[in-house]
Amino acid sequence: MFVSLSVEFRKLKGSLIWLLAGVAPSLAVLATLIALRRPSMEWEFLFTGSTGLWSFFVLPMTVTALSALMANIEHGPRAWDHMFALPIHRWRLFAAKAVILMAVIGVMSALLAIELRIAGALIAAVDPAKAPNGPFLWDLATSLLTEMWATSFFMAMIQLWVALRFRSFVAPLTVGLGGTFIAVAAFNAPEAMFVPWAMPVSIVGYDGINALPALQLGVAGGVLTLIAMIVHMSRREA
Amino acid sequence: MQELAVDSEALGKRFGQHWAAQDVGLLVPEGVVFGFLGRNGAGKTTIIRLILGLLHPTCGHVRVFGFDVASQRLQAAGQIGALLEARATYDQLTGRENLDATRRLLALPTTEIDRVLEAVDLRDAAHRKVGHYSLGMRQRLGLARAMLGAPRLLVLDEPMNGLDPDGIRDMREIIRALPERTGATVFMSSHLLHEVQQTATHIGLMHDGRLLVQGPIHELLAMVAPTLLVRTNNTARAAELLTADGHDIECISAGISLKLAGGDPEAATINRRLIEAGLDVVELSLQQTTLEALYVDVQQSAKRAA
Repeated sequence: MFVSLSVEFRKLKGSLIWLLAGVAPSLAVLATLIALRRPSMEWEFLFTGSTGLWSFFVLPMTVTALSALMANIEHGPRAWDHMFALPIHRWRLFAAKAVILMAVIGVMSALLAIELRIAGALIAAVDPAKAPNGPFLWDLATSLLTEMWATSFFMAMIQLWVALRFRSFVAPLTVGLGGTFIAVAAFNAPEAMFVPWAMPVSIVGYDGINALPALQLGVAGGVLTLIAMIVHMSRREA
Repeated sequence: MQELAVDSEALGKRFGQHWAAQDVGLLVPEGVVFGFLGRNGAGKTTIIRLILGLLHPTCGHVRVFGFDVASQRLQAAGQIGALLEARATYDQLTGRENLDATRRLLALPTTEIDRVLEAVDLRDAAHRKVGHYSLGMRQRLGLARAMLGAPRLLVLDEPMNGLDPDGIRDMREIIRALPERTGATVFMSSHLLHEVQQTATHIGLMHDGRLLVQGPIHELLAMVAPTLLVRTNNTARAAELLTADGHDIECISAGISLKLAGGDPEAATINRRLIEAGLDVVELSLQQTTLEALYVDVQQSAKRAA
C-alpha cells in the first residue's frame, strides 16, 4: 500500500492540484479579511468566519475540482488500461487515490490556519490598530479544522467515486455544484447535517448542535462510500 | 511439447446484443512473434483486453502460460507486459519517471529502467518530459514500460499505429529482435499487413469477431496459390486466350494477373500457349504470395461459407 501511495504522490508532480491546494485556503482567508474588515477583531470571530466560509463554499468546490483533477491523471492519457493490466491488486490504486485526496484536504486545512495567522501578523505589522486581539487560538483552529476535515470525508469520497467512474469532467462538476447548492439551500437547517456537502459547515453552523452527528455521519458515510467505491471500481471492466 | 503462451477455448465477449468476439480458440506458441490481424472492428482489441483481464469473458476462457485469466488474474498478469495506448503516459513526468512509477508498483530494481531504456534506444531522451516526446518516442517508451520485469509475454496493440516510416522501421526492428533478445513471446495486433509479414513468425486472422485462421506464417502463405503476372504485346488477345483456357484472370495496369494453382508446369504451359498464338510474351513472373493475398483469400472463403 505504501508503494501505491508513493506512486500516486509522484504522479502529482507538475499537477494543478498543488496550485489549487495553495490558492483555495488563501482565497478563504482573503475573502474573510475583506468581508470582516473591522479594527481589532477577536481571533475567535475571525477564525469562525474564515472556517465558516471555508467549509460552506470553498471546501466543497475545491474538493470537486481536486477529485476531478486527480481522476484526470488517469483519464487524460487513458492510463487505466495500463494500471489495470499490471499484476497488482486494483483496490490499492483506488485506496491510494482516496488517501492522497484526504491528505491534500488536510494540507489545505493546515494552510488555512497558517495563512490566517500570517495575515493577522501582517495586519499587525502594517496597522497595529487593526490587529486581531489576543493570542492566536491554535487549539480552536486545530479542533475545528480537524473536525471539518474528517466530516468532509463523505463528500470527498462521493466526488472521487464519480470523478473516477466518469471520464468527463462534467459528471463530477455537476455533482459537486449540485451538492454545494443543496448545502447552501439547507444552510443552518437541522437537515443540513444529512447533506454530505453541508456536513463540514455543520461543525460551526446552527450553534454547533449538528456538529457531533455531522462528524459521525461524515466519517461513517466516508468509510462506507470508500469501501463501495473500491469494490465497484475494482470489479468494473476497464 | 512447446508450451503455449496464450490459449483460449470458445472465448466470447458480448456487448449488449453484439458479439465482439465469438468462439475464439487461440493457440500462441511460446517464443514466437504472433501477428494478430483483422480490420478495424474485427475483434482484435476485445481479445487483447480479454487476455489482459480488462474484460470479463461472456463465455469460454483464456489462459496465459497456463494461468486462467479470470480466476488467476494476478498470476496471469505477472507473465504479461502490455502496450495498449501510446499516449497512456503521464506527460508532466519524464520518461524515466514514467517508467519508475510502474517499476515501483512491480517492485523491481532501479536497474530495470536503464535496461529497458537501452532496449528501445531511448536513454538519451529519458530525462525529458514525455509531453515533449514524438509519437514514435511515446511508442518506444510504452514498449519499454511493457518490458519492465522481463515478462514472458508482450502484448502490443497496434504498436505501429500513427508512426512515420522511420518510426515504423525502428519499431519493427525492435519487435523482431525481442524473442531472441529477451526470450519473450510477442503478441501483436495490427491492420498493417505488410508490416506484420515482415515482423511476425505466426499469425491469427480475425474477421467479424471470429478467428478464421492461425498458424506459422510460411505455412499459411503456402496454402494460397501464387499469382502469375503475364505481360504481352496484346493484352486483350492474351486475356481472351487465357479465359478460354479456363483461367480466372484479372486485368491490371501491368498486364494480366491470375492464380497459379499448378506451379511452374502450369506457368510453362501458359507461356507456350501464348507464344503459339503469335503473341510476344514480355514478362511472365511469379509474384510472391503476400499476407494481403492470404487475408483476402481467407476473408472471401469466410464470406462464401457464411
